[in-house]
Amino acid sequence: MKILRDLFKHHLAFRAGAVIVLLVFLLVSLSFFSPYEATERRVVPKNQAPSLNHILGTTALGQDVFWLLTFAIRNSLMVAGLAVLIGRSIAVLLGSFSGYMGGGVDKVLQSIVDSFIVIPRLPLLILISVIVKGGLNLWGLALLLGFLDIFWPSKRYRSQILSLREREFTYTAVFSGMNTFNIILKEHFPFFIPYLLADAVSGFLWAIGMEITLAILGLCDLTRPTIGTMIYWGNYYQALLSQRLWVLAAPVIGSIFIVVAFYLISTSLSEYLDPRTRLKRLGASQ
Amino acid sequence: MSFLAEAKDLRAYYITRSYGVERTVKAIDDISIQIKEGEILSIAGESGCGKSTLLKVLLGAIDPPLRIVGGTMQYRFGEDYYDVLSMSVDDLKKKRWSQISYIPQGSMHVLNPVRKIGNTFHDFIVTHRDLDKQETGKMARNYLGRLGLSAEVMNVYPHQLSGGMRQRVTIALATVLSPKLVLADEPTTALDVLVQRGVVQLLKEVQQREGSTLVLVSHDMGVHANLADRIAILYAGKLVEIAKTERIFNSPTHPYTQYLIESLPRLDDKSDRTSIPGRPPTLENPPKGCRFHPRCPHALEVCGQKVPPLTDLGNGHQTACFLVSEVDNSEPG
Repeated sequence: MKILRDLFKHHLAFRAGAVIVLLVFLLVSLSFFSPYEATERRVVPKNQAPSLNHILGTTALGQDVFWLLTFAIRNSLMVAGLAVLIGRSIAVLLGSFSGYMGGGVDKVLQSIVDSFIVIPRLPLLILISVIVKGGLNLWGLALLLGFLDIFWPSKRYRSQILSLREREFTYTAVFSGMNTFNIILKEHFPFFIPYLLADAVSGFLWAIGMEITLAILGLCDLTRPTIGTMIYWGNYYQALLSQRLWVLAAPVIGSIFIVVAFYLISTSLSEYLDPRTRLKRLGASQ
Repeated sequence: MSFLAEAKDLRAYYITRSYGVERTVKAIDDISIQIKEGEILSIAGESGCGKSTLLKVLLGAIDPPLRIVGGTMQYRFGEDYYDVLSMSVDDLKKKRWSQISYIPQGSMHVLNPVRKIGNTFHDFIVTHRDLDKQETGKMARNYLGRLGLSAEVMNVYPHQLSGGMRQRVTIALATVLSPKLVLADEPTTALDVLVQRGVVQLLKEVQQREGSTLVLVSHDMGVHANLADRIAILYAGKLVEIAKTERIFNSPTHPYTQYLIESLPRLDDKSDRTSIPGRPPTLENPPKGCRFHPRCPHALEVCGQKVPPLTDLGNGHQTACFLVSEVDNSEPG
């Protein structure tokens, strides 16, 4: 908590990121007080420009853009969060296990990982989505994204572990009789956690991007509001051509803010958690 | 005789096998050496003559491709003898750091860069002592104080220290549990001369205060002259001469040692120093007989055929050279 407070006080990027994330979560929590159901249509006059009654306007399907956006961001964040949680936690286990075990175990695991890595992810996602024809609900999508996000990251985590276990201080620790678990926990984790944090945020952003991509292509469950499906329906009813830009502006600007905010938080956190860069900054400011 | 560690007829080879080709590097070939309690033993020699390998074996850190092909290696703590080569890994781990410690070569990366020195001390101490964080902190602070180091280093990260300071902290870390045997692998390499002096003094101080035994590997003869009680000269995986420091410097008997000593600059002598002709042989395929004979100006015929035995010249001075043993033999009794 103290770390977060310090960062908030002294780190401009973190402060900006934190404020935006707070706003985003505020928006998300508003969805629980929405006067309309998430999937309800034709509840308000169609195609209204932003006004006092509908601050972000209404869609061609008769939905209020503001309240729709609260649901959309909630769903998108949940999908991305779940995808990261599933994907990266398996990736960490797989990568570090492979890295620490080495030898035959490593070879077998890596050949499996390699064979998944060569499959391009976007075409595969499109293929699967086409096959299930919109039958993929949000949880299914999250699972699928999580699964596809195991292999590349696990490779990165493995490389970190491989490098850490060859460092001089690891040898010294091993020699001093420290047991393996302690070495991993005390000597290696301080290195690994900042990397993991920054990397998990990038995974989060990738998952949001993928969800939007698939939805815009009309490949996932289009009845549920997400950032992607909002853009899809906006395009479907020619929002751009008929100059109803507010329909598209809300999800696009919203997603840009989310991406920037999480990016700012991840870089400032990882910078803070690495004592070398932190002290360099301290030295520069004195 | 009270020895702390003893190697007998030790042979340690690096054996690698790949694509059906086997390479054997005879890094240590038939070395017997005794480390006495409380002494400072220096191991000297050119690069690639087996110094570091000998240290590894003395530490019991024998990992492939290094393999012990023959001989024995023993520790003695109190009345107990431990055979290093047949000791279990767990036993060895318990002995390490608490009884046998190691000051690694170049302390640049020895300390974990993202952990404060105090935490590193804590980690190393709790591995062997059942203490909590405050107690280890106190113990480390006291010890640093006794070595004349500021206790403030406990709260900083390694990269905030200078190279010399880091090396001193590493020495403190290696000796905080008062080990009986301390092995140092080139502890002064990559430090400037002034800092070297400080580090050498610290090593000596630690050794004297704790009454521990120090084994030092270095190719800096100055460090040896300053620190060592006895010096062992290695050449191409063999022990060629071992004697008290003064004897090595004043009356070296092996031609290789003579070269080493002659190559040192002297205050009163401004003439050019000559280096030893030729290069050390590869340990993969060392020359027959005495390994130094291709470079030796006094080589006899027998030197190319037979391996000279280590001959005792009295007073703990031993040399493996036919020049010495032949002369001794030819003297009418």
